Amino acid sequence: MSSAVHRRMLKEYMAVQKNAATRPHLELLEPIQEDDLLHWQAILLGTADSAYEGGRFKLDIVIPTNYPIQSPTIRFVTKICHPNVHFKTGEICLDILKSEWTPAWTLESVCVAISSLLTNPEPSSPLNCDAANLLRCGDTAGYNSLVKMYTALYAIGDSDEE
Amino acid sequence: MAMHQFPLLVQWSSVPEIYHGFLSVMDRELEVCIEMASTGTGRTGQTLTKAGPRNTSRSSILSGRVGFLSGSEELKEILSGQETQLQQKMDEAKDMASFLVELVDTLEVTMSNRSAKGDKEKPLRYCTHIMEQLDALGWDRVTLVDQDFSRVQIELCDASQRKHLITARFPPAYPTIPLTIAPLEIPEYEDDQLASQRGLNVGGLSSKQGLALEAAIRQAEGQLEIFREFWDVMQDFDERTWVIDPEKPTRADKMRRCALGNHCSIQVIVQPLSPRSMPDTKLFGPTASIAPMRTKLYQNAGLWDIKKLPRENLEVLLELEGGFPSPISTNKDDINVGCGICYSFRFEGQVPDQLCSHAKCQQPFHRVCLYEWLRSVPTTRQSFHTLFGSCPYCGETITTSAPKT
Ligand SMILES: [Zn+2]
Ligand SMILES: [Zn+2]
Repeated sequence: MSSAVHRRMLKEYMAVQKNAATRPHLELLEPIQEDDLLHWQAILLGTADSAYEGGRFKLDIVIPTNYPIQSPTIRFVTKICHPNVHFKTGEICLDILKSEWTPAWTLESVCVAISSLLTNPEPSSPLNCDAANLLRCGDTAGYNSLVKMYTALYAIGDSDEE
Repeated sequence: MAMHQFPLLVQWSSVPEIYHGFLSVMDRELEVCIEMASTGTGRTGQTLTKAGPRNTSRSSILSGRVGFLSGSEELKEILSGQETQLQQKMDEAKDMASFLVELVDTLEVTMSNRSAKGDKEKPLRYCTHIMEQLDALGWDRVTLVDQDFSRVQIELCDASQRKHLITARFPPAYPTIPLTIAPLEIPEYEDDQLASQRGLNVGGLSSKQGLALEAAIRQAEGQLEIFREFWDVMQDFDERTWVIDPEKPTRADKMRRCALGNHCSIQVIVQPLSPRSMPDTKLFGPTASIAPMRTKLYQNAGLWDIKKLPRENLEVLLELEGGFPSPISTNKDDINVGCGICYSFRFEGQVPDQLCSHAKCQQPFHRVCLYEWLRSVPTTRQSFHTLFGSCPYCGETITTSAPKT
C-alpha cells in the first residue's frame, strides 16, 4: 500500500471520530477491518420527515491507491429505492463521485452529501427508472409509498444482511 | 576661466560666439543659450535674441558687457526676483565663464531653499487660493496634500460612519482652469431618471468652471447618501459572512459570494438603488446539497422582509440556524494543516510550498501532490512545464510546474 494514502486515511479516521457528534444522519463510518484502511463502511440514517424514516442504509466504500487524486467507489449495500441509486448493484449517481470530485472532499463529507441526496433526488439522471418516472410525472404520493415499502422491507429492523 | 568647465554647453557657432546647452544644478538640467560679446563692443541683448538655436520657449534673461544670456521659462522663473543682483554680478564678471560660475552658485542656493520649503515653482496666488479652500473645509478632513498643492485627498464620512476618499486635482493654471475630482467609488446602477433628477453622472463628478472645492464636496456627499443603504447591506455581508469572492471588495462591488459550508456557497447581487429587496442569487456546490437550498429559497421567498437586512433574510429563507458560517467556523479543520491533498506536512522530504493565491483560501499543497492532481483533471491546460487548473478547495485558478525528479 502506498504510504501517502495510508497516512491520509489515518488522518480522516481521526477526524471522523472527533466529529461523530456533529452529524446525526451518519451513524457509523469506519474501516471494516482495522488493518485495511482502503475498505470502509458507513451507515446512513433515513431522516425523520422523509419516506426513508427509520431506515438504516449501509454503504460499502473502496478507496483506490491513488486516493484522493481518484474518488472513492461507494455503493449502497442495503437495497434502497432512489432515482439515483441502482436497485440491484447499489451504484450511486452523484456528481462529486465522478466529474466534480476534488481532493478537498473527504469520506465524511461525501457521506453527508449522499445523505442529502436521499431527500433531494435528481430525477434527470436516473439509475432507477421506476422511481424517477414517478417523480417526473409528479406522483409524489406514489413515489413516497414505493420508497416506504422498500425501506420497511430492506432497511428497517435487524436486516443487516445484504 | 573657460567654457569647457560646463560640459553640457556646446559651441553652436563661432561668429558670433554662441553656446547652447544646459546648466546642471541639483540634478536638474536648465536650458541656456549664451552669446559672448565680441571684444570691445557693447552689444545689447535685444538684437541677439534671435541668435542661437531656435526655441520658442526661450526668453531673454540678462545682457551685459560680457554677453547675452537667454534660457528656458523654468530658469527665468527660478531667477525671478534676483535680477538686480545678477545684473550686478554680470557687470562685475571678467568674462562669461566666470559669470556662469556665479550663476550656478545662485541657482544652487535658490533651488535648495525652494526644495526645502517644498513649494517648487507654484505662484503664491495658486497656493493661497487652495489653502483658503482647505481652511474653509476643515483640515481634519484633509488626508493628503501634495508638496506642490496639485493634489489634495479629502476624507468624506457618510451617515453610517464609513470613510470615503476623494481626490481633487488642481491644474497649474488654477483657479483659471477648474479643479477636477476623481470619481467616487460607487456601484453601477440603472436608473436614468434618478441620475438626471439628482444631477449626477454615473462616471463621477463633473466640475464646472469655477466650481469651488466645497461645492464639489457637497455634490460628492449627496452621492454618498444615495448609496448609504447599499453600503450598509454590503458591509453586513462582509462582517457577518465568509465572503469568498471578491477577495477585496471595493465600494463599487455589488456582488458577494458567501460560503455556506460543506463546499456550498451563495452568490448575491444587490441592487444599489433598492438594496433591501431580494437580490439575484445563485447557489454553487454539489447538486445534491444545493438542491434543497434552492427549494427553500423559492418556498420561503414570501418571508422576505425589507425591514431586515438581506443577510438576515437569507438566513431565514435558507433556514441557516446558526446564521452564515464565519471564516473561523468554516475554515480548515485541524486535520488539514499540511498539504490539502495528502494531509501530511513532510512528504518525500518536501514541505507544502505551493499556496493557493486566493486570499481567502491560501490552501497549501506539495508541488508533487498538486501536480499529480492537476494532471489528472481533463480541464487542466499545460504550457511548457506549467499546469493551469483550479484549486481543489476554492476553484480559483492555480498553477504549478513539474516537480524536479
Ligand atoms: Zn501533499
Ligand atoms: Zn484555493
